[in-house]
Amino acid sequence: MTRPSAKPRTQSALIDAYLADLDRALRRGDPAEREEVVAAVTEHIEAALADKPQPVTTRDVEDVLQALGSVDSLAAEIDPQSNPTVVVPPAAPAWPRWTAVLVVIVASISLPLVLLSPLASGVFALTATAVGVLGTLSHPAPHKWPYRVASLVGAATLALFVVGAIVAYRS
Amino acid sequence: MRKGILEYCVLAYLKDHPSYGLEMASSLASNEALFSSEGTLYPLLTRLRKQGWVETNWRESNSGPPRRYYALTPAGGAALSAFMATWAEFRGAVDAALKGNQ
Repeated sequence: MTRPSAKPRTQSALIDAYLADLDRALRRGDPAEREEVVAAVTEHIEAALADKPQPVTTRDVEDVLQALGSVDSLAAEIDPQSNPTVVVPPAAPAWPRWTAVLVVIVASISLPLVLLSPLASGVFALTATAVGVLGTLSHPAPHKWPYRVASLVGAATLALFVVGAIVAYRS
Repeated sequence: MRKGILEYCVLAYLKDHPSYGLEMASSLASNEALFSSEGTLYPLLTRLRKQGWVETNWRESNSGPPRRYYALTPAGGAALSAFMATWAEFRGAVDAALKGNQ
């Protein structure tokens, strides 16, 4: 003998509780996905109940929710770990490649230039050191080394420049 | 074991005709050998949509509010074909391996 239909309040309470649980269970993942799944499940519930002989009983609601399954099993299906959607590109150098090449060349030229034209050498060395230091700071590990080399060579040239200037001044 | 294969079952279902949630749930997802419960269909559909293998649109229904219909995209069709090409061989190989151990 079937019970007379329960008050709709109990039915919507059951449905709302299920959907709220589902929303909570999906909280770990992507919010857009969560919204979409909750909306689709809501639509499913409404359509399933509409298909049943009216008026719908509480038992009908329970049956529909039971067939849907536990919210945990749904949440497990949308597990973010198993979602192969994010691809991490390899770290790229911050500046174009030719900058690294150029700064090493400038630093290398500045060193022998000390003997020929101290002024030009000083300018080259200063530029190479400055760019080298900035480059070392702006780049991740694999791309640091040309800038490091440039700043060391540039600094060495500048040191020579200073030493040379002092010697020249003394004599 | 089911993960990754269930998607293709859904794609195959949609290949013949677009469908809406409840219909898919009652015919495909009610198969307990494939789906532990009907609800797990929906996260799967969302994942397929994110991958661009399934698209959704709304259609009027004469028996109530508009329904969300799911359909295969060309990319989804290609993915399904690729799977179907390798599945028979894979299934045969697994069966043979299991038989060999009896």
